[in-house]
Amino acid sequence: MGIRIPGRHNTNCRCTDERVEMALDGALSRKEQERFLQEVKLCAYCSEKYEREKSFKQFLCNKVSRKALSPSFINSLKEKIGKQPGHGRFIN
Amino acid sequence: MQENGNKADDVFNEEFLPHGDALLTFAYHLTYDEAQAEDLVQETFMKAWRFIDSYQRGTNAKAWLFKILKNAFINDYRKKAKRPHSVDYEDFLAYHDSEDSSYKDLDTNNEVFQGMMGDEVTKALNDLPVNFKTVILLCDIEGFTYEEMSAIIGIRIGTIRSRLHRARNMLKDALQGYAANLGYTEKEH
Ligand SMILES: [Zn+2]
Repeated sequence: MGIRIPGRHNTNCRCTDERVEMALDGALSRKEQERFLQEVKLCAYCSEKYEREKSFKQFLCNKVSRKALSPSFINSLKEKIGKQPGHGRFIN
Repeated sequence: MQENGNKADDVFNEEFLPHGDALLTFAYHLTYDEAQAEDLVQETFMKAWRFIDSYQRGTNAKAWLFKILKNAFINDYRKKAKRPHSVDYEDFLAYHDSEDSSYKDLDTNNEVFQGMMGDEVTKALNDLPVNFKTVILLCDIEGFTYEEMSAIIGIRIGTIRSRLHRARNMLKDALQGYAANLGYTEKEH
């Protein structure tokens, strides 16, 4: 695997690690996001970090197992709810 | 009453039930137990039904349901965790949640993880302390915004950000350990 040598942080770059994560989490305004994406291209360190964090987020999204409710669970839930007072009979 | 009943049924079917699978996924990762996860989802839907009049149609049903589920889980968790001599978990969290802590990056090479199976990743995630895996599940798996997460968990956005950052680092660290143990890579020195 070897040792990864990270790119250098451009001295004019205003990106921070925190901002990289915010950009990936959709926490920047549209204008901030556009500016970030322009700026990040100019800095080897930040563009590398951005790509690395993006691929980690994607990796989690793909690998973490998902569950689905079974039809029998949903039927029994509706039955239980139908027996609750307050909202009349539960209509499917 | 019947009309109100029908409206409530519509809200339940159209706005609540579609989030059932996401709720079950969240509950499963919180409990790491299929039966407990189903119980938690059932409890969530029963509560949502009971308080359906306080839900405003067309607002954020998913965040509302996740908040109910998370609170139900925390209540159960606190009951079970009340053991003598156990580590005070809230103190642990307060220590690790400090917002002004510097943003340190755990420099990992993601290629190391790519060969890992979903089960291994799930296991590594489930081994994280509950409040750390919660933010990863809400943000990276369910795509909630920081504002929504802040409302669901009941903590400030600044704390969400720092907790998320720490949680990701903890998970990367754990995954590197798994990858090394499973022979996907040699441990770096
Ligand atoms: Zn930079």
